[in-house]
Amino acid sequence: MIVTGILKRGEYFDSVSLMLIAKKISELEIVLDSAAVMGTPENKSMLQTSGLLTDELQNADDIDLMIAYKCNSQNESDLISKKINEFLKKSDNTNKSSGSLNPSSLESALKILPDANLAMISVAGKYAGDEAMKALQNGLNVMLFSDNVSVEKEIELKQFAKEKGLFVMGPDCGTAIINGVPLAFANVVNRGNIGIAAASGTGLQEVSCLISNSGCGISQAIGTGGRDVKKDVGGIMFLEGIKALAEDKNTGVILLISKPPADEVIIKIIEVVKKIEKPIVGVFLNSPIELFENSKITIAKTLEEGALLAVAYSKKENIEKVFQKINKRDLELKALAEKESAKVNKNQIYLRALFSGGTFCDETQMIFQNVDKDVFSNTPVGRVKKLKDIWKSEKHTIIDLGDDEFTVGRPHPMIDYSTRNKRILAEANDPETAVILLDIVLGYGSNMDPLAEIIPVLNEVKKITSKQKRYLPVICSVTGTEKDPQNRTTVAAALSAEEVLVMDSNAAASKLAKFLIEKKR
Amino acid sequence: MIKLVSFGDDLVKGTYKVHSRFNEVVNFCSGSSFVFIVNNSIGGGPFNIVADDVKFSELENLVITEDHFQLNDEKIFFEFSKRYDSKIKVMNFDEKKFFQNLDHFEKALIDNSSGKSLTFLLDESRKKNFKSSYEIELVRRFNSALECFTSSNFVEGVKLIKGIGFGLTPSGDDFISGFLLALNCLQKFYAVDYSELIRHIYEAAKGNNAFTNAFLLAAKNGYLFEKFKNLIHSILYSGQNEILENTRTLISFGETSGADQGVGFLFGIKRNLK
Repeated sequence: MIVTGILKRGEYFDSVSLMLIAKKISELEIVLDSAAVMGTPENKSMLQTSGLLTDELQNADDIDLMIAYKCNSQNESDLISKKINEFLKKSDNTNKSSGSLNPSSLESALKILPDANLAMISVAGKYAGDEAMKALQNGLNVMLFSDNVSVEKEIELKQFAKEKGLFVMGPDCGTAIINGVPLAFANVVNRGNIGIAAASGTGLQEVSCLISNSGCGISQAIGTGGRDVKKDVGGIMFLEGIKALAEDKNTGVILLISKPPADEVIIKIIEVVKKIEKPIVGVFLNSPIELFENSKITIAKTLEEGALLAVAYSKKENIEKVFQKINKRDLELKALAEKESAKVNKNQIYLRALFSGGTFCDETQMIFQNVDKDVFSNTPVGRVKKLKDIWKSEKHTIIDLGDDEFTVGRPHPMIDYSTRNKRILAEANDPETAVILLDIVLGYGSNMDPLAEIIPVLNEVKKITSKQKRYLPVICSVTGTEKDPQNRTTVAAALSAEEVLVMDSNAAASKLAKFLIEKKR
Repeated sequence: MIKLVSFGDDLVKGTYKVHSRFNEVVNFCSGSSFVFIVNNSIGGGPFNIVADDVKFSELENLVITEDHFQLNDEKIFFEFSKRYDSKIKVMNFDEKKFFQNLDHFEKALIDNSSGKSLTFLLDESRKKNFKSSYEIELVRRFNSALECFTSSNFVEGVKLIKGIGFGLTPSGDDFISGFLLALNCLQKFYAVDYSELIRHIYEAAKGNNAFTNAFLLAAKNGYLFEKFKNLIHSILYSGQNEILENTRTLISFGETSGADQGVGFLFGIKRNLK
């Protein structure tokens, strides 16, 4: 066994980078033991006790970084050393990049890129509003990724933008695809003639991927931030988005996505679409469908249905075929649910749905509305009840792990799977869990290696349930495309190999879970 | 042009050189004194100069005088209205509320902090995150230190944990600075005198790392950085939601530093009130 020490004299890395480097080293399979800490005398003494202090590290000072690791051979040690240097270099580049391509203000950014027409703003909420206004005053459209911007500021920004003929996407806008360029959390989709206006980030990702996977494509996908369609903001940008898509010559079909808009906003939407000649499909999750009766909008119940209807319009097919196709597929899901339910024990009766995408959480709640009176969520909609303790499931539980309560101080669960992984194991240990329902969202912004995060946990679930002589179905939708850096087919195939029931959409995954639960009742 | 947002109330006059540089922070030092040039998201502090429109990558020289500071070639005058007050003022101390809120803080800390933080001292189940031999030794030393604290052998306890752990400011030092802040707060809440104990702990904790020493000195003097000050304010005067929000803001500082300081603070309050 070999112990190797690497001493980086006077090199400062912030704590987050240090922990990340330490984690990456410990995750290398050939590393038997490791530590990455500052060279204080006390840390040296700790390394000595741990059998990790080398001669070289004896000379470390308080301001030096010490990295120590144990492995089986010199060849392995050399390989690990090379990897560590790569990690350090990457971290160094990330933290200390400088020069003209790292502008420190909007003004200097505009000097570098005078033709820019969109500013993406992702700074702390209390400063984001002012930065966005500065961008608008410079004639830039704005994608405002930041949240915690006051509603008053949002209205001010959007009214100003409207007067200037500009867009403000956000605040809290996580997804957009503009002129074929995916922004923030977005997927690599085909270009085509379907334009999307969305007040729902995950919803936008789901429909754009389903459209792309069906062979059609996106002209523009405009995110507005969820609050835009509420009473206070009054749908300022959602309505402007619809008008822009109506005027866009590359858009032939318009798809609208939102969680329930305020009634006043619905009236405005219906009014605006009256003048539009293009086919319009609307997915307004958990909104009463009757509000849209006699409007020009073809209403879809789920994101999947909305995407497929838009595809049918784009291909100039009969939309009735969409409903027939979904009905046929649902029959297949029922048959699969019957088989699966026969494998689970009689006391396994509850759904545990753990989502990284907030809109999926809403969509699944909608699908489960009438399944049972005891459906709980941390973000309840409709008849679903509020969980007393978000960290503990009750009966049927549907969780949005991307909600603020879970994410402060941690990356979003589409990036960092650790919170959900812990919860998956907790649900697997509960003898009353009948099915675990998950989503995996691919694309830019999301975790680049989701399989490395999820597969070990799925194996652990199998160990737990087989020890308890139970079978626990895991259903998962994968939102993504072949062109995404993670590649949807690769991810779906690897999950299927682990006996996960992989579905093309969250609606299909939720329906399968629903049919399975209904069989158990 | 640099826009001054706030400046600390414990800045020491002198000519400073760059000590370390990150995306949103440049740490300057002059002997044992430090000044941190930071952006708004980091917030105020006794040695912080918070400024907008700073090109952090280009900062090289800093001079602090009585009435202004000069960063590279740019001279900025201190305006009194922008002076950050790092001391906490206690107007009405409601002991019952404070203890209720302390429980909310403890829960928020456990629920939200990194697995490698010292919250294993509050929740045993988190020890499972410490797997390597170094981490196991870290847990062992902290447990030994807590035994020393329980028997009021503070200096021995501090010696066991000073300088150990993860991060640029090691976890042990973060814990100790939280503990010192707790003692300073208790002096204000109960009009007791812990000055000797504070001095002994500080002397035992000081090491060769000037950077860490600067934080320990601030804690010894009861100087609070903005995130911690906001948290203590919410524990004194607000409710669960604000505490949760301020805890989350605190623990966003470093990977474990904020959380480790919070654990030290909790122990400092609880241990010394027993």
